[in-house]
Amino acid sequence: MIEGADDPRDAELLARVAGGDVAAMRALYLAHAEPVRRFVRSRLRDESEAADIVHETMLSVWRGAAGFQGRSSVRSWIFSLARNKTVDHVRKQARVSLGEPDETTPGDDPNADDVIAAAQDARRVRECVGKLSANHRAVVHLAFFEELSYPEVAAIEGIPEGTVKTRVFHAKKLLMRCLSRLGG
Amino acid sequence: MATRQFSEDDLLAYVRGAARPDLSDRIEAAMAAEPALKAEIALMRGLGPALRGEDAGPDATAFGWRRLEAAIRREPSGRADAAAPRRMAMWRAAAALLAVVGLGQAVYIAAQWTGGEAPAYRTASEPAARHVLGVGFAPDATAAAIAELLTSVEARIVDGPGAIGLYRLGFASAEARDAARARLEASPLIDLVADE
Repeated sequence: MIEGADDPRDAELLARVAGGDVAAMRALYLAHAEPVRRFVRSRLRDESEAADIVHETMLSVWRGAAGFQGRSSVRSWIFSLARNKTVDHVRKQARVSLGEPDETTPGDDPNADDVIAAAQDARRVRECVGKLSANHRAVVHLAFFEELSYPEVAAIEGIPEGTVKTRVFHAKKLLMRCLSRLGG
Repeated sequence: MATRQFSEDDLLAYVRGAARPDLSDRIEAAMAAEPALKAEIALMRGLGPALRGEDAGPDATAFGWRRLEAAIRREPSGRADAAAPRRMAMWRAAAALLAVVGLGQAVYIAAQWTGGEAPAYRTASEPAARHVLGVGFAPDATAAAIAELLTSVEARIVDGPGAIGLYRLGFASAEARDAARARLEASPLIDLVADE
């Protein structure tokens, strides 16, 4: 049953995938694999490991399409699968704790003009995003790149919506301080 | 970020162009007075374009698809978990139907012989009818791959496809049929192996 999906084309493709349609799976893959890869990379720095997780995620889409209940959009469902696989992967690797506390780095107020100038420089912005914790990078990516709503981000990350907003708030604060230094 | 007179929802709506006009007016008035808010909005607007520059590129996506395609073609029975029971039921029905058709055909042929006349024809399935298996091929199995598989198990198609796509494979002996069964069941080219 495909209900509540935001994108009718995604829902149609997923229904066909549930029936074993490889062409539909290819279309779904081409639409979502790259966003999923970027999301996984926001939590995991190794490109080849990210590629493996994308593969496992999309394989789960193929295997589980018929079980999709439509409680979220297809896109959110796929991102949730990716998030869970990333968490599992990191736990197995025991290299990073995804439960790490949010950074709180009090410091000087950033210079607004420096931030405004640096925010136009994609390379600088990426450099600063790369310095965020995995938790902060994930919410920033989902909210500002994937343009998901905060409730959708909360569902994918498995955290309360309020926590998403807190992470976004702190991430912006950290990014502004970082950009202020780079732009100054 | 000196001010928190606007919620995260307000700011996100504004950046996405989805804020109500009155909210947009208030945010813009505040931005004019507060450089920190102006900087925050600039950052929020800059994040999307900046992160878009991290694409892996079409080659990586194409490679990823080829890898996934190979994996899903190796496990045709693994797809659509919830649909699997329905599909198995369909195949069981198909196998039962095939058995009925085979029985009817045998009765018909026997009737021809008991009539004391030479059969007017010999069905293609008749010579192999004693050692057969019903099989359903995977939808994406190619003819060349099927031919190679059948050659390897010394089987040949003696009938089919039926109305629902089931084929009958004939074998030279019961031993050959039994030896082939496991290989057919393990092959990704075969969706179902059914006895008659």
